[in-house]
Order: sequence, then C-alpha cells, then structure tokens
Amino acid sequence: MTVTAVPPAPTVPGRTRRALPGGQQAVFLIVIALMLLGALVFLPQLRSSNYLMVQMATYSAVLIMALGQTFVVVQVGFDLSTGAMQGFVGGLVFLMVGWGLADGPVILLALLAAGAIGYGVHGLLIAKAKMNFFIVTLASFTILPSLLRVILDGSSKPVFSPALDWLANGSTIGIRNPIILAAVVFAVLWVVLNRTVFGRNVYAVGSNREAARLAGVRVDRVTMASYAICAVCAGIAGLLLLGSLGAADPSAGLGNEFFALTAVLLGGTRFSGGQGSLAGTVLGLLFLVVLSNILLLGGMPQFWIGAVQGVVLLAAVGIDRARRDG
Amino acid sequence: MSPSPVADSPGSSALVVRGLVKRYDATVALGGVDVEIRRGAVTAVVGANGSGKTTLLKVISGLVPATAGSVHGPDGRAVHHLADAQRSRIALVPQEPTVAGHLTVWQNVALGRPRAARGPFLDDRRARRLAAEASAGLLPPHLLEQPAAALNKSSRQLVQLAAAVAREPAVMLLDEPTAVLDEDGVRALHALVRRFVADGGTVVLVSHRLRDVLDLADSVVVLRNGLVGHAGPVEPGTERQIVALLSAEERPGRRPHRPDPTHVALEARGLLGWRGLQVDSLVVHRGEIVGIAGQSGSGRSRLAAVLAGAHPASGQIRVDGHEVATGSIAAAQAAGVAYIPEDRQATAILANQSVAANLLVGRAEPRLRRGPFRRRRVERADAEELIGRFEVRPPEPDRPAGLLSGGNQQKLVVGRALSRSRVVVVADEPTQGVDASARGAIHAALFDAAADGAGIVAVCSEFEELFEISDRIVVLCDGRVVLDRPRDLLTPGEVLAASLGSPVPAGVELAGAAPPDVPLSDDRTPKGQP
Repeated sequence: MTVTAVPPAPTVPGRTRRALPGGQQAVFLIVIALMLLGALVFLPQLRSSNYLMVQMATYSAVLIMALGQTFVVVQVGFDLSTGAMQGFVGGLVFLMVGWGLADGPVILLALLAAGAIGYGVHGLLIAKAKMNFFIVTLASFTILPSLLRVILDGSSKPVFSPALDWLANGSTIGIRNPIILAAVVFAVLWVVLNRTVFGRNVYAVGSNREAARLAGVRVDRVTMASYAICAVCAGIAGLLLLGSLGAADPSAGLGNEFFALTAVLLGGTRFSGGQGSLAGTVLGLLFLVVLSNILLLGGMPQFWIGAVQGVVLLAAVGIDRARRDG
Repeated sequence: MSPSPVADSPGSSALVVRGLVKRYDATVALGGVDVEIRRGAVTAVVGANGSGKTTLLKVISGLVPATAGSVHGPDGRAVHHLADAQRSRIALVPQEPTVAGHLTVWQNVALGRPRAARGPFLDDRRARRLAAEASAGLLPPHLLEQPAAALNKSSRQLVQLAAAVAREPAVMLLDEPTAVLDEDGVRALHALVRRFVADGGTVVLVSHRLRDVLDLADSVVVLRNGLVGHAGPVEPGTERQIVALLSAEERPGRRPHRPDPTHVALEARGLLGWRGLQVDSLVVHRGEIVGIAGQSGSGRSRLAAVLAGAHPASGQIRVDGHEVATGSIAAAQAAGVAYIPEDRQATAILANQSVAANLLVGRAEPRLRRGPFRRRRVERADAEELIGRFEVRPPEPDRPAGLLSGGNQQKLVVGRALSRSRVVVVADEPTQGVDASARGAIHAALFDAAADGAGIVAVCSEFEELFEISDRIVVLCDGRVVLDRPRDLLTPGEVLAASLGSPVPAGVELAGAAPPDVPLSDDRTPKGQP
C-alpha cells in the first residue's frame, strides 16, 4: 500500500502509556500531598514523625488486604470475606501455636490455608461451578467468623508468637516492620500484575472474559489464582493484626473488607473490570487515612468518619463517570 | 447544494448538517462536515473504516455531542441531545445488535413505546399488536414470543429494525445494517427501506457494501478522513466513481497458494455438537481455503467453534495427523489451530485494553516470555509489526481498542490469530463489518497463511466473498454437510439451493460449463443427501 487516504497517525505529544489512570493518579497524588501539607501546617500533632509512622503501621494490614482485593476486582468480582479471613487466620495461628508448632511453620501453614480457601473454595466455586462471586464470598463471610468463634470458644485468647510480635510491632532501620512488609507485598504484586503474562491475563479476563477464553487464556485459572492472591493477602493482614493485638479475637477483622474495597475503588479500579492499578489502591487508602486523620484531629466526632468516607467515594466515582461521559 | 433555509417545507432537506466537527481527545473523527439529506429518499454514506461514518450517525442521532457545528432535524429544529433526536423522530439502528436478551421479541420491539402502555400500566395486548405491526415483513410471527437471546445475530438485528419502525420515525439511520444479516434478512431490509421511503420517510444508510448503495440509494455521500469527499445522486457510473475513491486503498498482488492434496491439515470425523451439529467428515488440506456456507442457524458457526475447541463436542479431530482433544481451546491451540471468532464485540475484543494487549493476549510463543514474565521489548516490537502489517489505524499500540473503528478492531482479531504459528486457521466471518480496504488486507493475510502451508476454514455468509476466497466450498444445512465440492465446479445458485435443503445434481464437470442458476425449487426433498 503506497499513497492512501489514511491520515498520518495523530501523534499526541506527551501521551502517557496508560493515559487515563496515569493522569488521574498524578492529580490524586497532588490532592493528597496538598491535604497532608495543609494538615502539617494547621495540625501540630501531625508534625511528630512518630504519629505518622504509627498511623502508617496501623493501616499496613488494610493496605495489604486492599492490594490483594485489587486483583479480584480487576478480573471482575469482589471477595467479601477478606475481613473474615483476616480474623480467621488469627484463629488458625492460635490453634497451631497451641499444638506447639514453631513460628515459621505456623505462618507458612496459616497462609497456605488461606490460599487454599481462596483457590480451592472461592475460585473453584466461582470459576468452575459458575456460582456468583457475591454469594460464594458471602457464605465465607458468615462461615469463617463462625468457625473462628468455635476455635476460640467465643472469647479473645492471648497468643504469643515472637515472630509475629516482631513483624507487627518491631522496627528495622527506624521503620516499623508492617510498613516494610506492605512495601514488599506491593513490590511483589506490582511485578506480578504488570510484568507477567498472568498479570495481563487478569486485565484481559476483566475486560472480556469470553474474548480472553477464545484467545487462549485459561480464564478459570486466572480467576482462581486471583482469589488465592486475595485470600493470602488477607491472611498476611491477619498475621499483622494478631501480632499487634497479641491475641486472637472472635470479631477481629470484621468490617475491614469494606474499608479496603473503598480504597480500591477510590484508586480508580473499576467494578466493571479490566481497569485499575495497585498504585491507585495505595493512593486511595492514603487519601482515606489522611482525610480521616485531618477530620479527627480537627475535632470532628469519630462517628461521622464513615459518613464522610462514603460521600467521598460517591463523589470520586461520580467525577470519574462524568469525565468519561463528557 | 445551495444552503437552503431550514424550514419545514415538503421536498426540502430532512437533515441539515453544517460545519460538523467531532473530536475524541486528540483524534478528529469529523473535520467539518456539510451535508443535506433529502426528505423522502435514501442517502447512502460510504467511506473507509475510520472515515467517520458511524460518528456522523451518532452525532445526528444525539448519541454523542458535536464538538462544533449544527444538526437540524426534519422538523427544522436543532438536535443536540438524544431527547431532541427523539422529538424530531430520528431513529438510529446501530451496527451491533443491542437487544434485551431476557425479554421476548415483542417486548423488545414495544419497549418504551407509549402505545404499548395505558398510563403507568403495561398493556401487553396492545404491545403485542404494535410489535406484530412493526415487525411485519421482517420477522416471522412465531418468533415474536421467543426470548431475544434465543435468536441468531441476523434475527436480532431485524428485531432492532422492528423496534426502530415501532418508533414511527421520520428519519431512520441505519449503520451497516447488512453486516450481520443473512441473505433473507437483506431482502427483508431492502423491502422495508423501499416501503418506508414510499410512505415519505427518509433513510440514511451507512454501508460498505456497494450493492446496497446501488440498489437502494437515491444519493450518496462519500466520507474520507472525516470530510465529505463526494456527494451527489446515484447515476449510472456512480459505482465506478465510488470504487475509484475507495479502492485507492485496495492492494494488488496476493501470494499464490496451492492446495496440497497429499497433506491433510485438518480432519474431522463423526463430530456431534450441540444443537444438532452432525458432521461425518470434513477434510482440509495444507494450503487450501475451504469456505463454509449455509443459512444462519445451519451450524456453520457451531462447526467453526467446535473445530477451534471453543465448544465441547464428541468425535475425532486430527490436526496434522495428530489427534486433538475436542472441547479444549488449549489443546487446539497447542496443535496449531488459530481461531477468529464471530461477533467481535462479544467474543473477540478487549475494549478497555490497549491495542497491543489485544494483539498479544492468549499467545503462548516462547519468544514472548521468559518464565512467567513478559518480554516487553519483544512484545512491543511484535505488536508494532502486526499494526504495520494489518494497517491498524491509528497505529498507536497504547490506544484502548474500544476507540478503534469496527474494521480496525477486526484487524486486531485477525492479526492476533494469524500471528500464531499455525497449521489450521478457523475464521468465522473474518471480514464482518469491514470496508473494502480492510477486507483486502484480511483476505491477503488469509492467502498468505495458505501460501505458508496452513489449511484455512472460513465461514462466509456472503456469496461474493465465499467464491472469491475459497478453493473448495462446504455447505451446511441443519447441522449437516450437504455439499462439499471444489469452487470451480459450483455456482452461487447451487450453493444457495443446497443451503436451503434442495438437492444438487452431483458430478458437474466443468467450471466454464456451469449450469444456469438453479431456481429455488418448491419440491424440497428430504435433507441429508451427500
């Protein structure tokens, strides 16, 4: 083909590689930085570096949970049971410590159990048995806390595990360990999502499951692995929670799944699938945490925080919609 | 064309478009279009993929807002939004059938019509009557009670047409209406358009099939790169003019391919598939293009899906002599089967993923990866090479595929499939909804694959294309093979007759001495003869 009517490619200067989320994230980052800057100026409590560090360490568990959830949402779905899994893993650790197992095997087996539930129960029922993801994980949402109460006989039980204590409460070169752990989890998952064939398949399945299947993607495996990643992340969050409480609690983790999901959605990951990023999830959570700290330190009664977060979610998603339509 | 006053006088223009500009981000889809559409006539809009045909219809029907310029409807009032278009009785029938699958056909047709309701309450009897009136001549009455999802794509498109008729429009905008219609559907569409125009209606027809333009249209508008390249009445000689305009992009020179009767690429025996697919034997040689014909619902797409492993079936499939497990895409791909599925919106395109991701997804060539990791430099080079080879426009690997025109999306699907190392290519309507230039590129790619020794199975509902590309033609009827013969020993009439279940005399000898078209005989004999 030589001379044709086809126009030269419209070259867009400065077009970023993933145009939409990239630009959105930059804006988001600026908003968060401005909020933080303003807070540092007007709220003296925030200026203590220890305060910020404690906050970040506290939310590391939820962040890890949200990072795992991002995989499930990108491939279209939602794991309602991550909060329940967080608590349930605490129960497993309590059991295994009681049997006298060493810390290493306890951690490994607990995470293995979480991954097995994600892959073999959630993933299998959703991908192979074609059951609705909401129903399957809703069942876990009620089953896991119930099992936890059975294990703990209904009351909070102290668990002492030096490794988990170090993981949740220790520091390395002046940084609290949960923050480091969250950074490591982020790095690993980022590579998996952005640099592996599996990662691209997660996006492909979320974008158009049937097209991905016909193109040769083993879509069931992608879904099952995504639920496994999500469950393992919830398990890691459970280990952190157990370590920081020093006890396995029958109501541990409940409600965190929605907090994590709010962060995922604020970060630009769409329920319709095929779009989203881990960096967005980090920013989403950062925004929520900074906002609620500002409000609390600024004197807003704590009961209002949930309402504000809900309105912020609606506003963010609404703005996103309007931008896409316009 | 003189700039006429926009008035509601009979004989004037039904639509007046002035200085219309539409930009998507930085891409200019329409660069200042001035068009007047004559009232009570059929106007065809033709142009290459990405020339702005669909965008023009979307702006006229208020689906997307114009960046600049104006549209005035048949009542002389400006159209900005969907509500304005509805008030001006402008109805758009989009290219891809979008019907509510759970609802019955009559519910789909009557959906949202005030006539089908009494105040706030539904009135099913009136809705059914309305649907029956609107679908007269388009759909057989017994289909009205079926859920729309049970219909094939051609019939779903007719449902959509009936729904447009039910709106009692003054102007009907049809976007590639024949792209998914079978031959019966095309006839019904032509009759509908003629009737509608005879009653004073106005039709704007976007199509890349010149046959539609010549048969139906009174005037024609040629779009090129978002601008009007030509506008005028259809006269003798118009066809040549348009072909010259459009085929500036047609490519000459295809690599010759020759079927190799000593090497079987694909062999299927005793296939039993869902909904009555029963193929006793199908053989495709290396270097051979086998065209699969049949009415819609005859099982041609089902056969393609089974051969590609996309649907379970019992029976035996051998690729290059090795048996392949049926019902497994992975097994078929591993054996060297590449699949181009039908219905790209639903089953082939990842709309919110990049062009590059669409070209790469599902491919397992070792050179593209290192363990579980992607080799991104190799991927990038591969995607750019495919974009260049298939002339994807715009040639941006990072653009979301959903922003490309239909023809360019199809190039992605074909490019993805043909980039695999393959022994067999199964292509289900490979040129559905694409223009002459893209069609040429896709055909050239199929010929290329055949020249490289692949066996090609191509489902074609268009006879023109079937006879253009096939070395051998296999006709299906009711899920069975009723005719399997070299193309040169067949006429379109025979293929049509066989696809309708009529017997075809065996043993015609010479291509040159082909018998006259077999008329549709009334005495249809029982099916299933060889």
